[in-house]
Amino acid sequence: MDELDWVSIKSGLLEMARKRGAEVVRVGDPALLEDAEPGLRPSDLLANAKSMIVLGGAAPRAAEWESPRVEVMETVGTADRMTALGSSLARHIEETYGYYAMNVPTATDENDKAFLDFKAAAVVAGAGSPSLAGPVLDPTYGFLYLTVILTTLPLPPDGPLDEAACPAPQCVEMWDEKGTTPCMAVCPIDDGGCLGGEIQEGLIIKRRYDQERCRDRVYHYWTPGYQAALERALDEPDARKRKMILYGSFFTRTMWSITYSGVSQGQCFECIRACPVGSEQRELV
Amino acid sequence: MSSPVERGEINGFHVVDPDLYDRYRTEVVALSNSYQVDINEFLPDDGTRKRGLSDAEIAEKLGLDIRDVTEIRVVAEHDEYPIEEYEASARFKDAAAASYREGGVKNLYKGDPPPTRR
Repeated sequence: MDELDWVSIKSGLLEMARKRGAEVVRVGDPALLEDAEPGLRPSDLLANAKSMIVLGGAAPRAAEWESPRVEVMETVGTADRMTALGSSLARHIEETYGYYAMNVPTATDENDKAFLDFKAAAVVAGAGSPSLAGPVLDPTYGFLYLTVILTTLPLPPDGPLDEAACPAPQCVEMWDEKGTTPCMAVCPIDDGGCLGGEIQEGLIIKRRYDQERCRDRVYHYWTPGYQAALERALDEPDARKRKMILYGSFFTRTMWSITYSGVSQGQCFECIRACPVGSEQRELV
Repeated sequence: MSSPVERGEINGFHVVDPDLYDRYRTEVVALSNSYQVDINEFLPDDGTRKRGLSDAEIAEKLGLDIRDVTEIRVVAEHDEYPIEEYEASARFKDAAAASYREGGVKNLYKGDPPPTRR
């Protein structure tokens, strides 16, 4: 096939993804991830992968952000909709073009790690840029759930964005005035939160991130919470008190969340709630 | 260089010795991606930016068995904060969401969560 065919095929695939609900569709060069941590590289998953299709979408709805019940946001956050879309696109590539295509699993690999450095994949494809808060941010939509399809189909890559979404102009202004940004002010690493960093001349020059605290908040009523509560129950020598823990509201809700794991994966959004990038998408009437 | 380890040896039911865990916990976490200091892509490529090490790389650096490194890291990542952190987290989220409802994205939560969740 000549170059024009690859361009047409890419255009068709990305249009299909958009029609099925992806807000952002980009192609990256998997070779650019070969300096990622061993075990999180495309070549660890699929030999001869030539392209990385990155899809972003399924952001929480404006009404969910607006709800007076935090529990709504704690329950609706999920990558599953994007995962299903990625699996569908991968199947289409294999059946239509005869090239290998794998939708990278979004669950954890052995040893409690991801299968791929999803953030790096999104950045090199231009499906957003890194942020002080952590998630990759699309300049228009802000935070999105991601899925990545690795394929041996040699599509022309898009490459990283020319201009980073973070820090936003409002955040640079706040940094110059107060020495912090909205996300770091809400969740400060030196005061019980997860985020730290520095901005110089509009660019992020340093960053600190407490992944453990962030995980305990994001997976609040999930596996980490379950383990912490179970440990407390096992340590409790009084059988009556032990029963109160195991049958109590925290443990019960945690078990329900694990049961409905397809819809309650993300349970803390406070850094993104404060983020101006994409915030206009949440302002409705 | 530690000898190659088969997959089943790594993620079978290998339990790390608690004394070994206590001794190396801090070092393993510091070398991994757990507590991230200046690792991200947008940082200057002048030595500031760096990535966390894989379990195999940490094992080689510390002279440990990779199975022990994996277990030390996974246990430590889940052992960092006690159950009390979860109640603090619930209060934090309620307070931050309330600030948003009152004034949108410009009305930042400024700490001091209420003493009880409701």
